[in-house]
Amino acid sequence: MNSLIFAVLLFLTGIYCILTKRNLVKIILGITISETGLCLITSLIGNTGGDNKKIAEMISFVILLTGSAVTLIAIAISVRLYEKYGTLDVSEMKKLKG
Amino acid sequence: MHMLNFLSFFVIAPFIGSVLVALTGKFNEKFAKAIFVAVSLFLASLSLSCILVTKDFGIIVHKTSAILSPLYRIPLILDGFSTFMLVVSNVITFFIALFSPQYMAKYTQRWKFYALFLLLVTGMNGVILSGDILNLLICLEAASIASYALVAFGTEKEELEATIKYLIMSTVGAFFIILGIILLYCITHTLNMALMSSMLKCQENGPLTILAAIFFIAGFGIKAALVPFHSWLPDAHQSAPAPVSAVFSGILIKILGIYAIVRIMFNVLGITSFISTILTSLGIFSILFGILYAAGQRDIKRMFAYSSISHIGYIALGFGIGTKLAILGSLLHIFNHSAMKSLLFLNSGSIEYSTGTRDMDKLGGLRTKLPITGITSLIASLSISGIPPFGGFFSKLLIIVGAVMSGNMLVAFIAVLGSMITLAVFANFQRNVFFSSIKEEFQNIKEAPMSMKASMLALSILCIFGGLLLLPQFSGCFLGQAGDALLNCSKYANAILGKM
Repeated sequence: MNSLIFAVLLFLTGIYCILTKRNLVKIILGITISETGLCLITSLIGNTGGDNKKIAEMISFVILLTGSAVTLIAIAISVRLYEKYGTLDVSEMKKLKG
Repeated sequence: MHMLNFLSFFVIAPFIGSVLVALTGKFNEKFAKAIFVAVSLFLASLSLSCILVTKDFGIIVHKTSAILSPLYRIPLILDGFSTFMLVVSNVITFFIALFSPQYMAKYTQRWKFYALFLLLVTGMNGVILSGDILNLLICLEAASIASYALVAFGTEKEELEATIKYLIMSTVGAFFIILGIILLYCITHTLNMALMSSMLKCQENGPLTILAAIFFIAGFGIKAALVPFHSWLPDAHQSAPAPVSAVFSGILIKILGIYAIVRIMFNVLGITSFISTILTSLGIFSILFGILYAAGQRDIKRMFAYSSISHIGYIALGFGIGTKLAILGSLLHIFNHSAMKSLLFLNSGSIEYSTGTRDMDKLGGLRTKLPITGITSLIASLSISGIPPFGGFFSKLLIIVGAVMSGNMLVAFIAVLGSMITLAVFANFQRNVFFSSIKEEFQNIKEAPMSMKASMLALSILCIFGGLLLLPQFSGCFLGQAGDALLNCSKYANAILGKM
C-alpha cells in the first residue's frame, strides 16, 4: 500500500510540474515523471500473479513506448521554439490569442 | 469467416502506404502523391462496402492473424456504430486528400505531409475498429503523435507554439485515459471491451467504476475539446495547414474524443444518470462558450475552430440526453458536421490560396472572383446555421426535439439560442468575405485549381443531402444500425462474446 501511495505521489508531482513550471524543459520533465508514476501504478495494481502480470507488463510497455515518442516530439519542437524565440519560457510565447 | 479479414486492411493499408511514402517520397514525389490519393480512395470504397456487410452479417469479430501479432491476437470489431464512423471518416478523408496536393504546393518536403497524414488515418481507423481498450489507446496515441507533427508542419512561430500547447494538453489527457484503463483493468482483470462490459454488469457500480468514468470523461474530453478542456483547439486549428484543420475539425476530434467516449460509456461502463448529466452539462457549456467566442474572431479559421467547439457540444448533448431520437440526431450531426466543417476549412484554404490572407477585415467581395468557393461556403454556412433544406437543420432539430421530449426545456432553449447565434456569426462571415464590395488588391485573383474545386463541390453535395440519411431506406441500414448498437448495450457484449 505504501508503495502505491508513493507511485500516486510521483504521478501528482509530474502533473504539478506540468501545471506550474514556465520552462519547457521542466514541463517535459514533468511529463516523463508522470509517465514513470503511471508505470509504477500499473505494475503495483496489476501484478496479482499469473496471466495478469503479463498484461500489466504490456500496459507499462505501452505507456513507456508512447511516452517516449511524445517526449521525442516535444523535445524536437522545443529546439525549434528556442531557435525562433531565443527562450524556453512559455509565458513569452504569446503569438496566438483570443 | 476468413473472407471477412478485410477489416485489418483499414489499419494495414494506410500504414503500408505511409511507410512506402516515407521511403520513396524523397526521390519521387509524384509516386508519393499517387499512393496518398490511391490509399484514401481504396479506404473510402472499402468503408462503403462495410455498410452492406454489417447489413447482412451484423456484428463482425476478426482477430488479427498469429503471424502479425504472435503474442496477443488483437480483436477488431465492426458493428453499426463503427461502420458509421468508418464511412464518415474515410469518405471525408478522401475528399480532403484530393484537395491537399495543390494546397500544399507552397510548402517544402510535401512527402512528409503525405506520410504523416496516412499515419493519422491508420490511427483513426484503429481507434474505430479496436475491440480492446489497450489497443484503442495505442491507436489513439499513434493518431495524436501524427497530428502533433502535422500541426507543426509549417515550423513557424505560431505553428510551434500551437503544437507545444496541444501536445502538453493532449498528453495529460492520455494520462487520464491510462488511469481509467488501469482502474477498469483492476476491477475486471481483462482488457477486452466486451468481456469488461459483461463483467461490470455482474457487479454494482462501485466508487472505482465511477472514478474510472470521470477519468475517461476528462481524458477524452481533452481530445474532443469540450469546454473547459478546449483551449488547445483554436490555436491548433488556426496554425495548421487547411487540410489538416479540416481533418482535425471534421474527423479527428470526433473519433478520438466523441467516438471513444461514447463507445466506452454506452457499451462498456453502461450509461448512468450521473454520466449523462455530465455529458449534457459539458455539451451545454460547449455550445454557448464556443459560439460566443466565435462571434469575436476576425481570423476565419479561428472562428471556424470555435464554432467546432460549439458543434461538438451539440453532439455531446445529444448523447447525454440519451433517448433514441437524440442519439439519432447526434449521429446525423456527426455526419453533417464532418461534411460542412471540413468544407468550410477547405474554403478557408482556397481563400488563403487565392488571396494570401485569412483576416475577415481585409477580405471582401470575393463572390465574383471565386464563384465555386463562394457558393460552396454559402451552402456550408446555411447548413451549419440550420436553415431547413440542408442537412444541419435536421440533425439540430432531432437533438432539440429529443431535449424537449425528455423534459429538459432549459437545455432545448440553450441549443436553440446557440443555433441562432451561429446563424448571426456565419451571416457576418458571408457578408464580410463574399458579399461586400471587392477590395482594390484582389481585382486580379484567380479561383483555386480543378482538384480543389472538385473536392469542395463534392463535400457541398454531402451538405445538401445530409438530411436524406433519415429516409427509411437509408436509415435502416446505416444510421439506424449505428443507433441500435448504442441503445442495446447488452447486445454488443453478448454478440461479440458469442463470436469470439
